[in-house]
Amino acid sequence: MTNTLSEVRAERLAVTPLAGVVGFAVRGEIDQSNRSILAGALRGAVAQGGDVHLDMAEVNFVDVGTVALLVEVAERLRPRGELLVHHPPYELSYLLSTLWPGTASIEAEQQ
Amino acid sequence: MTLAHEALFYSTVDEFLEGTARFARDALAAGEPVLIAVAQPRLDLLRDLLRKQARFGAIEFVDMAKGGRNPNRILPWLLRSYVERHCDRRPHIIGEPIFVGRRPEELGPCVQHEALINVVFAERDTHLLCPYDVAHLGHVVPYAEQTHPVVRQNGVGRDSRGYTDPQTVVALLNQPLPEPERVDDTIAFDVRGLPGVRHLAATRAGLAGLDENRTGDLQLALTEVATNAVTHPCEGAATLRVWSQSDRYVCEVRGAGEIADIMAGRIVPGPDTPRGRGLLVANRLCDLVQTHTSPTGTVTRLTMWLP
Repeated sequence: MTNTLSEVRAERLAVTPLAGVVGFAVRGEIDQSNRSILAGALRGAVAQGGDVHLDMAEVNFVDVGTVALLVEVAERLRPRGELLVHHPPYELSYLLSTLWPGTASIEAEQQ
Repeated sequence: MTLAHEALFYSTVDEFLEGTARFARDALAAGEPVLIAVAQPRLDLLRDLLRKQARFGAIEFVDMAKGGRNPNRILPWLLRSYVERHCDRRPHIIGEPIFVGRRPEELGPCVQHEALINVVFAERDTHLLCPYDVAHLGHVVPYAEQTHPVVRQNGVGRDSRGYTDPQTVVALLNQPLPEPERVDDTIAFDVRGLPGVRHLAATRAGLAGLDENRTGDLQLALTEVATNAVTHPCEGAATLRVWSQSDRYVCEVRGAGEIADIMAGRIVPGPDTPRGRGLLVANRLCDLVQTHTSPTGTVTRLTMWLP
């Protein structure tokens, strides 16, 4: 029997501006179904031209496309600014070290 | 010099050791680095035999049944990374992808792997020797002849009796996958259904007895394959089927696109290339990745062996 995933809507992704710095707290799972929300928010932050912070403490999943997005954002910010990811989810650290070896780190020091 | 890709046919362990140890010693004598990727117990036997040379760190040893358990993993994650780390030298590699104990469904991906070595390293100054236990794996011999330009046996080398263009070999093994006896769930989804696909796969994986870490790996791999299926050639629908058997948990994705690049999933793209990592990740994380691709669509089957 074939079911349709109509009842399982795209996970809501919450992207909330951080206080005091340029950047966002993100909550949810990020994949192709909702990545454009994060991409749009980051586009605005990149335009400001300095450091951009992402707090991912409440992110449960990121796919490869999301890591590619963050690598690209970090590249666009340099040399005037950096992307600083706080509390990266497991997939982010794993995929970065595996698929983008030698790329400058985007993970902030754990506080 | 460019690529040399030779099969070593052996019938006894002594023949295996003689042929492989000579290859390794000759390479070391010429100052070249050596990677040995074979399954146990032959890995330890060879390590013992070469322990004097191995002491200086000139040889790397990998258990093929672990590092190469998914045949699609060997090329990008074992061989290419080794060759790239030794790009100023002539790497010598002993690789036994097809060994006694491989499951029947692993054979096709293994043979495709052997064929693709001839493409990936065509312009690389590299020497590969692939041992084949012809006493126990007689049915594999024709494939070894198709994928190795030179065959060695009893210390003598000769031209292969059936070397075949790699694209043709890959196409010959691009066959419809056998139907499972039972399917636990069949679900149609589009891009909005990706989280649901991931959650369903995890729930079923738990019921099948897959542990949490491997379920996480599978979710990541499945998300990539499912994303490809609903975005290529354009945004559309795909189908997920999941099932478990006594020895395995399987997630299968059927999408509309055709895989045109025979190297898909076997090349690590450069850091600036935005795409081309999805199947690569699945190959790294899953125990077996089988594909059947045609103009009407692609079926990708991700398997995790159960303990």
